[in-house]
Order: sequence, then structure tokens, then C-alpha cells
Amino acid sequence: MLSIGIYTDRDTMPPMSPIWFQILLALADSDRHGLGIMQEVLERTQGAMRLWPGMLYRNLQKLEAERLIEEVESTGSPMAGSPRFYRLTAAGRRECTAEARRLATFVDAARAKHLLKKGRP
Amino acid sequence: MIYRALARLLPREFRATAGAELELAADACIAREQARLGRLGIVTARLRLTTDIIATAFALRWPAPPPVHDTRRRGVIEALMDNMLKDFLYAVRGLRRQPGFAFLTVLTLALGIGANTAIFSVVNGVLLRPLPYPKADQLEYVTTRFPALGFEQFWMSPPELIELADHNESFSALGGFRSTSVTVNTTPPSRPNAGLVTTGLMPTLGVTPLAGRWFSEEDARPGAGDVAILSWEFWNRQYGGDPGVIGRKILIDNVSNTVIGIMPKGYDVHDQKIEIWIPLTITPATLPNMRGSHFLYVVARRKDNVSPAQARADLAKMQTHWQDFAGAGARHLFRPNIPNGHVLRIDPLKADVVGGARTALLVLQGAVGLVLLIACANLANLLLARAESRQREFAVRTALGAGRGRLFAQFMTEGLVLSALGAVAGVGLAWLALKGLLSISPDAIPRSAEVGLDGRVLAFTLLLTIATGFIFGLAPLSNLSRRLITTLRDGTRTTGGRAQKAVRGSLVIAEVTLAVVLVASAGLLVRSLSNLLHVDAGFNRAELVTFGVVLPTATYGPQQRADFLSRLESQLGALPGVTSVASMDGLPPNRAVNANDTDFEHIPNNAPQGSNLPIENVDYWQNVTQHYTETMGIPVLRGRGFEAGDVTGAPVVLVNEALVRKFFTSQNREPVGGHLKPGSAATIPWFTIVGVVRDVKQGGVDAPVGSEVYFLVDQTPRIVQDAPSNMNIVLRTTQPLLSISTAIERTVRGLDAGLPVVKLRSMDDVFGDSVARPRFITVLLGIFAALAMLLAAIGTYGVLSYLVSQQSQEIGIRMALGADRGSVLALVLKQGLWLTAIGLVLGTAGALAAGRLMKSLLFNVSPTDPLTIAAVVLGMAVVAVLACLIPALRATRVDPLTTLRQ
Repeated sequence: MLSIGIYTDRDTMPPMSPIWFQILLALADSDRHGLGIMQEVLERTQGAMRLWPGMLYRNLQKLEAERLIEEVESTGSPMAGSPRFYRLTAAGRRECTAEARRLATFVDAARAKHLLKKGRP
Repeated sequence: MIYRALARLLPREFRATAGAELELAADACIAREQARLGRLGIVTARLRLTTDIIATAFALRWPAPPPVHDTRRRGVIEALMDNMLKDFLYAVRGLRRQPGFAFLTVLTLALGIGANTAIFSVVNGVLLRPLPYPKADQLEYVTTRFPALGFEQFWMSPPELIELADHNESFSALGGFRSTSVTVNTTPPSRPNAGLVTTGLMPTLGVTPLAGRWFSEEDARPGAGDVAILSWEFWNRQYGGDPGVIGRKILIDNVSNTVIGIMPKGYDVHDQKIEIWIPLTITPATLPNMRGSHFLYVVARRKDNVSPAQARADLAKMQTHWQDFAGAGARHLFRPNIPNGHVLRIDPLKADVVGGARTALLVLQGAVGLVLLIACANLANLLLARAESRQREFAVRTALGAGRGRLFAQFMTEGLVLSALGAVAGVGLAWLALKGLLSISPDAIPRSAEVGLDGRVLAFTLLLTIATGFIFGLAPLSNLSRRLITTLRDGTRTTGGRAQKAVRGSLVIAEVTLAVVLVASAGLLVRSLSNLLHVDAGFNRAELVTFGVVLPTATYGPQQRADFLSRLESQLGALPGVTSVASMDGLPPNRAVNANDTDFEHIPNNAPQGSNLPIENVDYWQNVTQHYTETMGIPVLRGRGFEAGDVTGAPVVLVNEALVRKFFTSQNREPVGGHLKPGSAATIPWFTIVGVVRDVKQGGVDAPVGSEVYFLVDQTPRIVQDAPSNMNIVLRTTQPLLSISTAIERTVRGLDAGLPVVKLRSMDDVFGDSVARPRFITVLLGIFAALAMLLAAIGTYGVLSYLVSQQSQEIGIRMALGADRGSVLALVLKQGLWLTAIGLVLGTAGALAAGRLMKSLLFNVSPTDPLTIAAVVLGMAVVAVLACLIPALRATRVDPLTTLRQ
């Protein structure tokens, strides 16, 4: 029997999936289309998180269904095939902030134990 | 392309909204990975995109029910595929870090898998694939048995074929053929194999010509215009594939034949390599006299609903009524009810074509399988050592939450990646090996033209690869039995536990065992081949050169043939270095049996049943010229040889010892001065036996000698108005073949420019060709055995070296306490030789069993030949000592101070 423990271990997994968190974070400062989100996440995490198309778009669909993001009304003439832009909803912003705060408490704890120096990751 | 196809797996509405963007994003991903990893990035990106899209399709079509705790877990499928990919990349990275290890492993596997693939291609082409005809399993090979003469499979006569075709109820079609060779007036003249066939042959085989038409009934009538059909190969080689050749006239044995068709590529019958097809013309008037002329190979096609057993029953019933078909007074009938009677038999055509090659090929496949197993054992050892050095890595991964299953999957992936790389290289090697094998000895195996790499072979290789990957990939698992805690606590130093030592030990034992089996089998074959090559064939084959010449009966009558031979012999005899020249129609040691009815004066015809008189049938009629016995170096034991006076004198013959034993000694008669005649017709005079010569091998060097009569070609035209047209000339010469061959060709051309010189070779080569198959098998098995021995030696050496490195501390302490080098040497040697000894004992048992399987391949060697087995055990022991000695000597150089300080 193949165990799938190591990569999706429940204990080490944060309450919000890292993918969701990164997508929401990417939309926090600007509306973006799918490819833009991919690019932003890649640059910001310095290549640590690489999104893949199927993974990205089905999570976008789910986030939309959960009303954490919404599609931006098209401005001007909607050209066929032009990419769809997404923006963060109020609920999305709340959830993202909550997650960031939760992660920050871990970082604070690590600093308190002198594992990390102030201002350094 | 593939990506777009895979995208169809996604739900329609998802594709409608995200489809175009998905593609753009996919391109971006590929560019991103390429920037990161170069060309490898493109490959991994494509793989990752594939798993991504499949996982997405699964996730969208069958959304997992939200778990109680966590609504955001990834799908199981995606995780699985993701893990597989990660394992794959992990394995690839690991191998790139250790290129030496990777190279050795892949090379070993490539040899192992390649050899298996090559041999399996042969097994597949020869044994497994049906013959290349439609519904080939319906084809039966029809022969007759003459148990009284010792012939289990003999040809059929034309009347028998016609009666069988007319009166059977089991076959939808029947055809007969005989193979011969003919001279064609190509430039230069060529001598292809020809099939003389009945018109029913092709409907029986179910193949139609590529161009033109097959023979009609009219073509086979006496007096019809001569026609011929070419094989695709002959057409391409000699006429450059020119379609205009149909309708053209070509000279076959100096007779003008119209080409009416071309057969499809690869078309043949019974592996006779026939290149020209000619209709067999049977004159109805001569039919009654041909009942005893058994010369046709017959192929029959069973009707759709008739089983082989039903066909056999039908034939058995028919044979009891044969007199009704043949008419009253007909002789040579099938007599199934009489012991030793003449009876029909049928066998599957394929079984007959494949014949004796079956055991040989299965033995080779078994041998090559053992080589792969030994290679696996070696690799398992390597991987074990590698796994031990990675002990901490595994421990850390386990501590971080990797289950046993994950590590298991990781090992399997590494094993499979290695074996897949080995397989790719192996298939390439197999392709090369096959080309080499088939070009070196194309006649060593039947159906060699049909051997190649096909889907089945590749499927076999794939299975083999997966099995191999699993077998040696499993080895490191034995490490997992170690307690994690121990590993982590022990820190950097890891020592092989008792369990692993046992695993290593058994691997060595297994390798030695298998190697002994292989080497012993090869040893038996080598001895057998050497026996074959040193068989006394009854004549002195050193310094003999031979070639074939065929005198077309259209332009050479019997007397002209004899005259041509005597002119040719006198001119060849004048060449420098040639001491003697003669001609014969049957070339020893391997020619077709004649089994001709021969009347002996002292044996009454129509002897009553049950009398112990020998049946008046002689195995070989040999037509020779005057200087035959002296040229060949065959001793005349009694009486005299042929003399110049015999050319114009009374009819005389020579006979061999086997004939004397069968027809004279058994009757208490003196052979010299006795009389015999070819056939029983009153018009043929009696021939006087003037001498007895030594037995000469004719039916193969491994077959017993048959009875033989020598007729003198210089007198047969005068006495029986006949002389053979197909002759083998033999020269006794001190000149090597190369220096005399042009002179021979020039001499023949000088007498008749239309005659090709064929099969010009030394008599030693004739012998070599007659043992082509045993030699082929022996060489291959020899290579495999050498490989096995080498691998086993490397394996033993590897394990022992490892043990020494593990025990260096212990050895150091021993030496510090006063142990001398000798005792250290003995300590290490003992460990290795103990394992070897167990392997040798098991291997000997295995070799005895394997020898029994190969019994039919051996000639004058017992399958349990003690000498061979003793030599092999001794040889393996020496190799093992050498393999153990190197690590043992290294152990004696351990510096106690250094090891104790560590």
C-alpha cells in the first residue's frame, strides 16, 4: 500500500492550502489574470512555489465558488479569448489576512526563541 | 499537441471558460522550466503538465467529498501522480550525482536485457510466430514412414500424392514440391535454389503472387511451354525489381522459360530458401512406374472444421482401402496393418520446419535468463551498499513522516529508472547483436529471415524491464528493518547488520550457483562440438578443395556429361599443386538420403513376410569418377578400387562396410565378386562388386553410416544410359583455397562459359558448415557462460570488499592484539570461500539437472559428464579464490593504528 503521507501530511498542513493563500496574496494589491497570478507568485516566492495551469484554474474556480475572489467586470469590448481578471472580495481579504496573521504568530514564536533575527526571514 | 488532446478530459464548461488561458499558461510553464533546468526542464515540464491536467480532470469530474477537518486537501490521484513524478526526479537527480554508479548499472542491465531481447527475438521469430501464411495452423506436413528401413519421415511419390488428393475427406488443398538448384543465364550465371512444385501448392499455402499469375493446370501438362515464377528476392537481386521481366524468357538449365509471376517478399516453403518456382510436370503414362519414386515434400491444408486428430483418423481409414484407388496389382502400397509397413503420417508444418532448433533455442533463452538473474544479484548488491550509505537519509525522511510505503515506492522508482535506461540501451544492443548473429550464420537456425524486433519482443522487453527493476529495486528494503532510532543515534557510522550480511551472502551463493550451471552447460556443448568436429568421417579431409558444377541435361547428354567431367578433371589435375582430382554426385558428410531399391543377386525378390532377409534397399547411391577413392583418401579394405580398364570394361561397383554388414555378412556371403543392380528392371545388367571401401559419413557427422554403393560415372552412360548432372568436383591440393580458386573458375569457364562454379570451399569448411547449428549454440552459450562467470566473480569480489571495509576496525584490533597477516588473510578468504563452496555444491546439482534438459543437443558426451563438471567446479573455484584474494590482501594491509584512531 502506498502511503501519501509525506507530501500532504495533515499535521504540517496549514488550515488554508498554501495555493489558496498564495493566490489570494497575489490579488491583494492588484487585480490580475491567471497568468499574472502565476508570474507574481513565482517571482515573490523566488521560484519556491510554481503553479501549474490545471492546479491554478481549478483553484480559481473553487475560490470563486467560495466567494473569496470574483471576476472583474470587463471594461470596454470583451474580446474573444481575452484573459479574465480576478479581484479579491472582502471575504477573501479577510481570510487572507487571518491566514497571514496565523502564520505570523509562528514566526513571532520562532523569533522569541531566537531562531530568527528581527527583520530577517 | 498532446496537451490539447489531454485537455479534452476536462469538463466542457471548464474548457469553455479556461481552455485558451490554460494553453497559454502551459506554454509559460514550459518556458519557465526551460529557463530553470534547460532541456531537462522541457521534459519535466511536459510530464508535470500531463499529471496536472489529468489530476485537474479527476478533481473536477469527481470532486472528493469534503473531509470533516479539512476542505482543502489535494486529491488522492494528484498526490499519487505527484509523488511518482517526484520519485522519478529524485531518482534521476540521485543518478546524476553518481554517474559512475549509474553507468555501471545501466551497462550491466543493457547487456542483460539486450541479450535477453536478442534471444527472445529469435525464439519469437522461430518458435512463437505462426508461419507466414494465412491460417497457418491448418497446414500439415505429409510424409511417409518406412520403419523397416529406419525412415521415420520419408517423401511421397507422385501417384500417392494424386490419390491422397482425390480420396481424402480432411484436406481442402494439397500441394507437393521438391527443391533443387538450377542454373540461370543471368550475368554472371547464377545458381539459385528452385522449387519444382505441383499446381496445388499455392492454393494450399494461401498466398497469391505479387505480380503476374501462379501456375495453371495447363502449365504442368507435358508439352506445355516452360514457365517460371521468381521470388521477390531473386527478382530484385538479379533483375533490379524490373516489372518488365514478366513475359520475358530466361534460360533455366539451358531451357528457355517464360517468367509469368513474382512471389511476394519473404515467400518460401519449408524454409528451403527457394528463389525460382517451376511447375512439376508429371506424364500420366509414366505414373504407374513412379509409385516407388518417393521424392515429394507434401503440404496439406486441413478443412476449417477438421481437427488434426480427425485428419489422422481419416488417413488411417483411407490407407486400408488404398488398393481400391491404386488398382489391382499395384506395388508399394500403404500397409498400415503390417508391422513395418509403409504408412502416411502428418505433422504440423511449423513443428517440422522448426524441428531440432526448438530445444536449442529454449536452452539459450534459459541461459540468457540466468545471466540476467546474476546481473540482478550484482546490482542488488550495489544498491544495497548504496542504500546503506544513505541510511541516514532514509531515517531522516522517515522521521519527517515518510511511511514505509513511500520509501518502498522510492526504491521501486529508482530500480525502474535504472532498468528502463538499461532497456533502451539493451534494445539497441539487441538490434545490433541480431544483425551480427544472423549475418554470421544465417543457416544455423530455421526461419532466420523472419527474426526481428516486433511488438511482441518489445512487450517482452518491457515486462522484463519492470520485473528486473522490481527484483533489484527491492534489495535496499532489507535495510528498512533497521530501527530508525538506532540509525539516528549512531550518527555517521553505519554497520551492516546480521540480516544484511545474510542477504549479501545469499546473493553471492546464488550468483555462483547460476554461474556454475551455465559454465557447466557451456562446457558440455564445447566438448560435444569438439567431438563433432573430430568425428572420423572415413576420409582424409585435409588439403581437399571442392566445388559444384551442374551440367544442364538439355545440352549435355549422359555421355557428354561423363566426357565433360574427364576433360575437366585432366585440366584441373594439370594445375600446379594439384595431386589428384575426382567427381562425385553426393558431397559428404551431409547429403540427402537416396534409399534406392537395389537388387542383390543372392537375395530373392518377393521374399515371404517374416523371413529375416534384408530389404533390398540401399541408403546411398554414389556416382564417382575413376580416381575417387585415392583423391578422397578412402582406404580400399578388400578387393580393388576403380581402374582405367573399368571405363571400357564390364559393369563394376564398390560398396562400403555398412552395406557388406547388412547384405553379405548377415547372409554369410563374400562381398567381392557378388552382384547387384540399380533397380530391378530386366534391361539393367548385373554389376560386379570389385572392392569394399571404408564407411564414409553421409547423413551428418553425428548420424550412423548407411549402406552405400559407388557407381563409376565413366561407364554408366554406356551401361545404363545415365550419368548424374549435378556433380561435386574434389581436388587434393597443397595450394590454399584462395590461390587456386581463380584457376578453377577459369578452367570451368574455358570449357563452358555458361556454367557457374558454386560452393567453392575447402572440405574443412564443408565440415564446418555441417555443424553450423551446434557451433552457433555453443558460441552463444559460451559467451553467456563467460559473462556469468565474470559477473559472479565481480559479485563475490564486491561483497567481500565491502565486508572487509566494514570489518577494518575489527581487523585492526586483531592485528593490534598480535594477529599476523596470514591469519587475517585466512579470516577473509574463509568468509568468501565458504560462500563459494556452498554455491559450487548447489551449482553442481543444478548443472546435473540442466545437462538432462540439453541431452538432445549433446553428441558423445554424457549430460552428467564428470570430467566437464569437475573442470568447471575447479575453474570456478580458482576464479573465486582470485576474486576473494584481492580484498583479503587489502585486509592484511590494514594499519592497526589508523583504524583504532578512527
